Amino acid sequence: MVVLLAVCCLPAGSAVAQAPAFTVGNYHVESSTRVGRTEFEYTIRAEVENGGPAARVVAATVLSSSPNTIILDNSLSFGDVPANARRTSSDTFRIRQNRLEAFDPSALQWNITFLPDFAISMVEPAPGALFNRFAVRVRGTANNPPSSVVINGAIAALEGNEFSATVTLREGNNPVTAVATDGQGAVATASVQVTVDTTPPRVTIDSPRDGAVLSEPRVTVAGLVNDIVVGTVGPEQAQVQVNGRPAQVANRTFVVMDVPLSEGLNTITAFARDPAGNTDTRSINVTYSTAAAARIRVVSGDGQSGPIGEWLPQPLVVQATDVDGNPCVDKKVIFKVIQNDGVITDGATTAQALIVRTDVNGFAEVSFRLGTRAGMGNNQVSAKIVGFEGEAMFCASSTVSTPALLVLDAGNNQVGVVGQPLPRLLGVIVVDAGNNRLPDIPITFSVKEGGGSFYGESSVTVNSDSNGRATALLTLGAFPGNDNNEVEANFPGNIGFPVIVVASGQIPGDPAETSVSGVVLDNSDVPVPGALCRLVGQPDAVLSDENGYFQIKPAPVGAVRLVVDGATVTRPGAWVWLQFDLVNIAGQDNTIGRPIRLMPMDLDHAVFVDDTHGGTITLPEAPGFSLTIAPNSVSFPDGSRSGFVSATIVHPDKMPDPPEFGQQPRFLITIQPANALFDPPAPMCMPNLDGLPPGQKTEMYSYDHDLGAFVAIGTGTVSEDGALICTDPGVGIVKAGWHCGGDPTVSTPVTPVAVHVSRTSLATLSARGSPGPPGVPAYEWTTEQTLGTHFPQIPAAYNSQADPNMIQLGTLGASGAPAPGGLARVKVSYKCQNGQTAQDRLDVAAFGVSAYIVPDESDSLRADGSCGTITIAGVTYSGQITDPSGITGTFCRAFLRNVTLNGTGRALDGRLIKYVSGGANPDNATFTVVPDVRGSCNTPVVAGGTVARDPAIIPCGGIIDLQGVGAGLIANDVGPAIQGWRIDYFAGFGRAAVAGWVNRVVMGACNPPTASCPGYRP
Amino acid sequence: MRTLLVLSLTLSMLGVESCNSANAISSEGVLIRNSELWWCVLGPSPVELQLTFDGLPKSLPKWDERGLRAAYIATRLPLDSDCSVAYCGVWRYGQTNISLYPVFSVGSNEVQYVTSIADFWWVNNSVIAVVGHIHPSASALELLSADDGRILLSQVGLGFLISPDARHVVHFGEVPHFVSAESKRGSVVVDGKTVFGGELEPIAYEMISNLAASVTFSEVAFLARAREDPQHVEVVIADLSGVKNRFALPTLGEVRSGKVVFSGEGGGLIVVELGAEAWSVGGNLLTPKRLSRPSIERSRQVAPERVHRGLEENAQTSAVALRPKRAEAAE
Repeated sequence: MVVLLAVCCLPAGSAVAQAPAFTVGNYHVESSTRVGRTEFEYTIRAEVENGGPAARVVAATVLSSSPNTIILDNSLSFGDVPANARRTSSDTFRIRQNRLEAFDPSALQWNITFLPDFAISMVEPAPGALFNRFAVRVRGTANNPPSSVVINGAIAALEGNEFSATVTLREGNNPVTAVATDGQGAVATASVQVTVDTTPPRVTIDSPRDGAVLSEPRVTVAGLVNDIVVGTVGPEQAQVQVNGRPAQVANRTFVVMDVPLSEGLNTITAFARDPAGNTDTRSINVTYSTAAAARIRVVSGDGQSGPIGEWLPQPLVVQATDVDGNPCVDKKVIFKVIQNDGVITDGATTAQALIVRTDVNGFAEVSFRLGTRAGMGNNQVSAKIVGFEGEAMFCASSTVSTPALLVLDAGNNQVGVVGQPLPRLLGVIVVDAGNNRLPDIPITFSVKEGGGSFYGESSVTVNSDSNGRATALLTLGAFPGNDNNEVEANFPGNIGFPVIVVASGQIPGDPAETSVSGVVLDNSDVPVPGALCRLVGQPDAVLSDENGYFQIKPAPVGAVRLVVDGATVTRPGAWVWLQFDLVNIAGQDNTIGRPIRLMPMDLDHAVFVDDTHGGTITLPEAPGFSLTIAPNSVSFPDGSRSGFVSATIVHPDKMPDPPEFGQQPRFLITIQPANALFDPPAPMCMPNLDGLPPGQKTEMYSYDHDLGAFVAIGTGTVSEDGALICTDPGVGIVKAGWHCGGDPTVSTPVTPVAVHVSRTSLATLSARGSPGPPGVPAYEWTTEQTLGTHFPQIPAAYNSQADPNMIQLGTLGASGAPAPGGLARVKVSYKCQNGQTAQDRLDVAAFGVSAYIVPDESDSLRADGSCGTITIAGVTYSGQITDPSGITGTFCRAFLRNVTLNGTGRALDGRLIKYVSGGANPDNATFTVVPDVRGSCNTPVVAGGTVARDPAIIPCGGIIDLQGVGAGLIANDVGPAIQGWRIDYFAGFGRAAVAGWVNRVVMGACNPPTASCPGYRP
Repeated sequence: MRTLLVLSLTLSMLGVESCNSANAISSEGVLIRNSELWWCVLGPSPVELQLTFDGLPKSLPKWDERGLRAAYIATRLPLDSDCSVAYCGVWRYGQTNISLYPVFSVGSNEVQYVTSIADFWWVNNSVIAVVGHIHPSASALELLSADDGRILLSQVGLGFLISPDARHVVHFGEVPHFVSAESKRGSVVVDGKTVFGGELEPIAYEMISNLAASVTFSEVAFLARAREDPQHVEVVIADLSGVKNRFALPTLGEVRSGKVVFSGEGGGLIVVELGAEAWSVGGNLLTPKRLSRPSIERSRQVAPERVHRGLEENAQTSAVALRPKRAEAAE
């Protein structure tokens, strides 16, 4: 091998950090030819090895330093050669060699030319970077000077190998992609994913109270810190300082012990910062007084901690003293739990508020059982004596307990490509008895059905993160089906239910056939026509039709965002908009898996907000609901600061997207216009339909349209009378959208109710629900969204309690009616023994089937062999025609009339006679002899194998199975008489082929399935 | 009193059962059950009356407009004695016997070209139309008298429009199926006479569709597209004597999905819709006039209510035919 200098083709002055180092060798003789007594010509292929960075368009020319080796053809091409890789030449070179002398490879001197590889990289921002601003500077570098760089649509400034631009991002996750081109036309790209978070955290101080008079020189400061995050707020999500002292943060709460006070008025300031750099500050004033006064002070018990729901080891003790500092005996001390849902006891009574009398030393004490929500300083008890200055405050922290519940968080009911990973992770959350998220719990995901895998294994164990969340990515099994992949998630020692997650596998088809469809309904299942449905970034938009149905086709494959905008809805009212994230599968009709619930705004109860006006929204149909909006607090999506804000109740089973954290909220509200921002957050109260106990803390959730997911916005507390859940101070609606609250559902099994309907034959459907018996399952079958006339029907009666539940489909026109069939969406609803329901659906088609034939001349013969007659449109044809135009021989006139009617016929001698021109009368017509019979698609028709159909229903070349007619029938004929769900079955030659034929309407299934002609599975 | 007497007599002679609500018959209707014709009479005491007992396979039960006669199609008898493709059965109110009229019937030495029944309806109270299926490109029509079963008219083609008095029939002409595209020439036939296309035109029209007739059937209009000029769609207006006028529309719209309607404004004005566009043609217009959407709605006229347009009927009429309300007065 010979190592040679490589010559790059860059313009003069261009710099290359490291030149590729090429070695040409490994010669392979492709052919040889004797051209003289001792001389041969060789055609040789060679290999190049690149010991340096990647290079493009590598080529070489060769010289020989040996008189015995003459170069005849001196060039080779290697194409692009990656770094440290070998490539064989795409062509050959030729030499003439004297065979008396040995070939010396070292005599070949190679000169290499190449273009340097073109690559770019991002310098800033770093992957995963967080910003609290929308304008972000992007900087990168290329290995060669680029000629142009475009970053997220912005043209970058160029300086040598470096490029930079300032791009505008949007709230939430953003891809930043740079596309660079060099002078030779090579294109390179680089991307990073960054997040914009302009929403500041919210910090409030619960203890001590603003304006409190304190009698101790140090105080415990506790409060809430909130931010809009998917999980909870801990030290990773927010840092808090109080008067410059770092606070302990956990589960949206913080505490700082022993904050020093000066005598007199003190300002206590809490400062919070989130990872994006957004900050918030809250201050209160307290007075430290040493003046003579009757006081109540903390003696002991403050600052303790323990697991949720446990009694603290030390009692909470206060002392009452008079103006001289002497103990006050028999004073009534009012102990009251003011934060969290803990209880206190004096040994006789346990409650959230008690009166305890001071003893001879002025002491009074209670024992304190912590509440169920974990946090720092979030269990607070106040102690007061009427007429005494100030109050004594106790703060205690509660830690999480042992795992008690596993709840589904995300990823259920996904649809993916068979054998491919699902679009989204499967997520579960493990919580304790107080619904506090537990980190570091091993969660095992196991494949139960469908043959899928987790990273090549049938199960995987993942420790829960700081949000109690464990995720795993399921790769679907090899077979398509509805909910045919089942995964169980569980943790060791779980005494509750495991979480069951199901997913469906589909086989991708022609990308050009990809579509997105849906049905837009209101809260009462009434179709919403005229909704503008579009995919973000795509030019075409469609309106939902009178049935609320829409289909966007073609649609891109992969991740898309579907926007359903009610601004164009034709029904009265002002309608909201919604958006959904989907991952489209090629060739499939992709849906969100449920109706799209669009509702008009409730303008009757809206409030107008501007710089000077605010108000409180209440709803007569939801007593207790209130949303309080401060003046000058709303930024509307169009950038204005004035407008109407409305709230509308959403039926709980018709929420637009299932909330995470295992919630099944009974109260859901939509606040419009979506994406309006509230600063400060708008406090909200809602009916406590979940029946949570008084004082309990629970998470409040909002659907964040930017993140495409429900996010926790902070905590709410159940009112003392248990009637309401109200957002805690500092917590409220930050961004308009869908909102709910509550704990993970524990009253019903964690196992989701599911039903799977399958087509066991062309006319039989079977539904199986889970969980199944014991119990009394109930199935309800309905049809909807029918097209055509004689669409498949469900039977009027069936055993709704059988499991699996099977029905036999029929059609209205099944009794010999020749009418077209139709398309039906058969829907099954499964109600299991606990009252929960699930739905599944299947599209099925029915076809009206007739038959057609090619006429056979034998049908025209009488018993004696003479020609019979045919009468068509009142004209009778009989006798014979000899040598009609175009063909020779004698034929029955009736037969030839049948040929002009049908186009082709089979003569007695077996010839296939085809009509060419001249009209219906065979005496004037011209014929020809053809080798086969061809239909309108100009393809040969096959008896018992060809059908004519409407190409709008079954595309050309499609295969269809027809109940009672045949399977694998080829759709390669058409005709104007066959429209809609009609099939004409080519039976063969002569009337014998259709003897006894009766038209019918039967079930059909197509392969490949289409929207208008489904297969056995949707 | 007379009606009650007849009905009582009928009930006594027929099998009587309670109406089965599972059949979802929302008003008085005739239906086929177990190959027999039944009538479900709703009221305070709903009953089902079995009207036929012959065991022949039946389909498409339909009342006439008065609700005094119900007809249906019965498929061939086991013994094909008179070489019929099917029979039209007619049940008359108050009578127990059924009239069975053969359709597409031929003599024993003739060739039958219809393979099955494709459609069937009452043209008026005394004429029944039956469409026979030939192949994917053509059908056959027979009009028969409901009184005696006489065949009044026989035609071959597609898309039959029949005037309410059954005196006029307009349809697309016969087109062979198993031929090359060059051999297919579309045509329009009015009362048996080709008025457009076929051998009348120097070029072949590969697509003729959306046939519409004026209320009086004095004019017909349709869309046509020549094979040699696929860039244009023609609106053709014809009467019994031939083509009267034709307009070329500047559109590539799918012809078959279009719509042609004789305008309610009269004067021979015709509204043509193709895709999202619409034009007004005919009348006094020299060239097609593009219409705005409100104009379309304003000028639209419902097609003559008794003109049958082939296989477009409501599904319910095929399996269960509801009895016209006006029948009560007739009784």
